[in-house]
Amino acid sequence: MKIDDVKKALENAKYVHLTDGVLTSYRDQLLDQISRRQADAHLKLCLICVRRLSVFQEERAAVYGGDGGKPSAGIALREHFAEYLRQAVENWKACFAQLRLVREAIMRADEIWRWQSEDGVLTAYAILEPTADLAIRICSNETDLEGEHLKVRVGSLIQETILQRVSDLEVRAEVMVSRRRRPRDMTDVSIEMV
Amino acid sequence: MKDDELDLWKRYHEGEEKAFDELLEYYKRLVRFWVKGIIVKSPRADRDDLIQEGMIKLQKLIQGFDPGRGGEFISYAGWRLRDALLDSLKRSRNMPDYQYKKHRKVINAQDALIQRLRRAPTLAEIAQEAGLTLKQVERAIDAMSVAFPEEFIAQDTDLPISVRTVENPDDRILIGELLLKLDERKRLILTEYYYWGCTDLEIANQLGLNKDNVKRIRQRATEALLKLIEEKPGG
Repeated sequence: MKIDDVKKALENAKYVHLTDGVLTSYRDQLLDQISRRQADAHLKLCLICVRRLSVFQEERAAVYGGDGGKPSAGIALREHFAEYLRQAVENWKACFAQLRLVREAIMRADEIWRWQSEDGVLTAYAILEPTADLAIRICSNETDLEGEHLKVRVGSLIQETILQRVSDLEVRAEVMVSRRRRPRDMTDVSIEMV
Repeated sequence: MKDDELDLWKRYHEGEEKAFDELLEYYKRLVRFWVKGIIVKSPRADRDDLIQEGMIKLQKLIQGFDPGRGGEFISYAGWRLRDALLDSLKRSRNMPDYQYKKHRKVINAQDALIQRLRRAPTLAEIAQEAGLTLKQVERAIDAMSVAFPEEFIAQDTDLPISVRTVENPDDRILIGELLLKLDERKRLILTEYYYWGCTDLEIANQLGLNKDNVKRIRQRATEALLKLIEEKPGG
């Protein structure tokens, strides 16, 4: 086996039919984002697998009725995401509790805070704009979270924002806190799902 | 899973005997669905025999399923149930041979066309390549999921993508399995490059990296795959 053989196998990968296990996982939204994208690449090419997928979708509808039942992944994912939000806020508070670190961060760079879950389901960061406004961005590689509402409170400022799709692989929500509204106590923050 | 379904599983695992019968009743529709599909494709099959066979298999599948491991029962049970029904059909020799040949022709034609054209072939192109009518191709594709699942390799694996080289189907390389061992960024770059035909520059823009970086990561990822293949027994 040489490197060219690996490249050839990779080039051919999208032409290979999906297994039943992959198709049912695809239908039930159990594949991670990258595996789903690989499956999409094949489905774009293959009439046979598209038809096989639709039979599995009919199977689901036969068991659960017209709507096919709501996959549990949706609920689990929301809970998962909510937990990560809690962890991110804890991290924010720990970080901004040390005034010295805040000053250093502000002096050092425009990105003054970042937290990411290991699986990439939540990435949150804060950027200090040249105007001294603060942008808080909450991103996820789980595009199924598109449309979820988040309530962000920074001091007395409360804003509701929505996770919106920015690419095939990412949803993002943003809150802007103007310089005037930035609280003295930066630990006075909460982010939760509505 | 729906709430009532989850509740049934909870009661079953708490040892409530009645819950097992209720689960059987709940998933009876799964048996009916596959039996109905198989009967349409193999009219000589005995419906009652298949239903009975399906219910026996369903019992075993319920006993073997652990909802605590995640996933849904129908993801786990659906195609396994279908395979058991087809096995029973084969044992009773009710599967006509000419059907199989037609399906094989369509699959071979599509695979050959994809290789040659490097795009999705149309139904008409498949029909021409296979020497069948458009209607025959449509029927064959329609029947495929139900009648000939063994055409689609690696039924026994839960790997997201099992890959073999198309030109040489016996020389199976489990690229999909090995891809899962790479970190997310490498997997993503290989997926975008090889599955979607993106350029390094396009990937770089998507990931906020520079083009040379993407190229380097891609090369490293390919080398890592080669290493993993070599480390595999018989690799």
